[in-house]
Amino acid sequence: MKKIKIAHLYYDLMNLYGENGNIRALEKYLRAQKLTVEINNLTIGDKIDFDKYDIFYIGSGNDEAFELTLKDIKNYKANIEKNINDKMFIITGNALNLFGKIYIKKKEIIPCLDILDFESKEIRKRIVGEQFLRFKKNNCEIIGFENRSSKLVNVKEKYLFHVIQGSGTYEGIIHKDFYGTYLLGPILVRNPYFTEYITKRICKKFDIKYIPVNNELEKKAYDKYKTNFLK
Amino acid sequence: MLRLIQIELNKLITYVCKKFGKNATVFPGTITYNMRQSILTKIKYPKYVIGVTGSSGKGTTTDLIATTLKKAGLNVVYNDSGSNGIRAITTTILNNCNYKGEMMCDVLLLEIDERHLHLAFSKNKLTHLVITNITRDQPARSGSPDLIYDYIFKTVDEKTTLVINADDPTVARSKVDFKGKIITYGLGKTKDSKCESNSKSLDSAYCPKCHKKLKYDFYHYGHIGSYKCENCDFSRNPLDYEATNLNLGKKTLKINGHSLKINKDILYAAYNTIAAYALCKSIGIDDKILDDTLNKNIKEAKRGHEYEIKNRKITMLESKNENNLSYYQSMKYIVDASGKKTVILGFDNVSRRYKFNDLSWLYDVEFELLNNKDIDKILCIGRFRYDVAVRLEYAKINKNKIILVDNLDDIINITLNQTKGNIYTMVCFDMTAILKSKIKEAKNEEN
Repeated sequence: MKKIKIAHLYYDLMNLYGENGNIRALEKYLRAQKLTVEINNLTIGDKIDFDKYDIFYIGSGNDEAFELTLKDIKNYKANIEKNINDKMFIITGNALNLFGKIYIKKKEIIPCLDILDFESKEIRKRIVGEQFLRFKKNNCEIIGFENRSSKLVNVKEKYLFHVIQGSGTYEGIIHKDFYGTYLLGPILVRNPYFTEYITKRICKKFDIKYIPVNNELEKKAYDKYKTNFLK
Repeated sequence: MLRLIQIELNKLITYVCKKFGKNATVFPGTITYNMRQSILTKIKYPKYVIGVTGSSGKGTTTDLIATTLKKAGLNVVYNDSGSNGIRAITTTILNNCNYKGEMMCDVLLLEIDERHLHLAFSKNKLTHLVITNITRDQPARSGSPDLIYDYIFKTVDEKTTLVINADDPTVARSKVDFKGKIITYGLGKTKDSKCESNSKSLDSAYCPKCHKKLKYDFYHYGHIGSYKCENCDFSRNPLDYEATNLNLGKKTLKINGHSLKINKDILYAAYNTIAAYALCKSIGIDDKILDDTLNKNIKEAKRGHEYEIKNRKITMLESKNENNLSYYQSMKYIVDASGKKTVILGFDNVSRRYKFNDLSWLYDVEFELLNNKDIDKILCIGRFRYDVAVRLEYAKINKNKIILVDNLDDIINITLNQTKGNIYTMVCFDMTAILKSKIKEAKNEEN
């Protein structure tokens, strides 16, 4: 059996809003592919070797957690740059801001990892609400929730999603297999079609045939949500 | 003059509401607060203005304090309805003012929403503020715990004495930031204390002073426990009031060696009693009076109404959505009870305060606790029953134990015919009323 290694980065800092659900979903979908799944929880004080893992996950955190994480992750800039085009990165909430050039907080310009070509900026009024989006790669709809105090600016990368209903026109960043979104919470549990897509991407990388996942209940929850709440 | 109009109008609307059998807690204050929002700064307050705030435990703590202070002979005005927003508070305050805008009492005691504290008391300062805990609670409204903290602390200054639960590092952060007087309380190690947290979503695992990881001696639940920073002097200890010898079965504990009873056999109840004790002692209430009130089972905690249908006991535990610790307490209560059991779980709306339906918090709740051999079946109800069922599956609960109830009219029949053991409902506000009516219908048929 092939082994896949997931690094849940800054798990004890960037962990607002039930984002552990995303790791659980990855585990479920990848196990269904008959892969042996190893999950490593890593944080400040650990030595993180980006060469060693196949998937990286970072969730959202409060301002203080973001600053602590940014300071630490900058130590790995070269190591991340080396892996950004080959490995999978799933990034939710304000963790997305880590990967841009700068984060503008009031008048202060905070240099970020500068690995992807975009910037982020603090906004005065928090954006809180449900988002209904489209993911064009497999033409599925995405449901989710955002509660954020920053926005993307000067984006030279591709956007991940198109907004159908909610705030803005575009959402998130996609670069090879880097999927970064401001949506927060267990988006991989709630969006079974999207998670199937990224699982298929992993299968391709591992050169194995995709095995359908038993996610009937997740699909029912997804359908029910759309009929209940979307206009 | 406007003040007088607002006071008298508030009283008049309250009178009319009551006359027509309507709820008079929020509506009068809504009208008068909107007339001029600064009205609460125009009032002459009594010697003691005490606030009780935090993510959970506010209501019962306020009840315990009110009963004790009244027993001590003080004239206490408090919002006993449980409504704790700015409008309900305005109703309470204005209804107890004379025409000169003076409050006619010795103590104004308010259970108050963390987010509304600054609306009421940013100018006129509280004399005391009890902070029970700050946990993840209604994230769509409150943001993260650090934002709730900021909301609370923009209201208080040195004029306010804080009475804080130091077992919660998010609250104890005030020991670093706050310049005024702080009285601390906490609960010592119990037989249920753990070396590792039950929670996957630890708030405040880091020191607020030097940002190093906190080291815990033990956890009670979530991030509540005894901790210290090994890099600086930030620590939960020393405590001004420490409860020890907690015996949930007998509902007893000791505070600084003094024996007392608690009003329910759950950990929350212990914290409510310690908070009330610490506050009352800080304003000079005698142990004799505290014994008298706290030791008499003055008011059962709000949760836990019991019914019986066809020899099956039903216990209704109200769980607050978006608050993982509230669910944790309910589940712990169910799991610790003896015998086979069936659980009813679900909700139609995430919150009654807003229309958002963020479901992230389901993954902060440790539903893994329900993965227990004594649990026969779990019934998922409400509009989000599939999401709840998915969460239970992720908690590795056997699929055969999960029943999705599509039509609530069938709930009693399904429960009686397809499940075993005592029945526990662990639902939020909107389902409680529906289930109660279904139980009532079933009982009527039984008779």
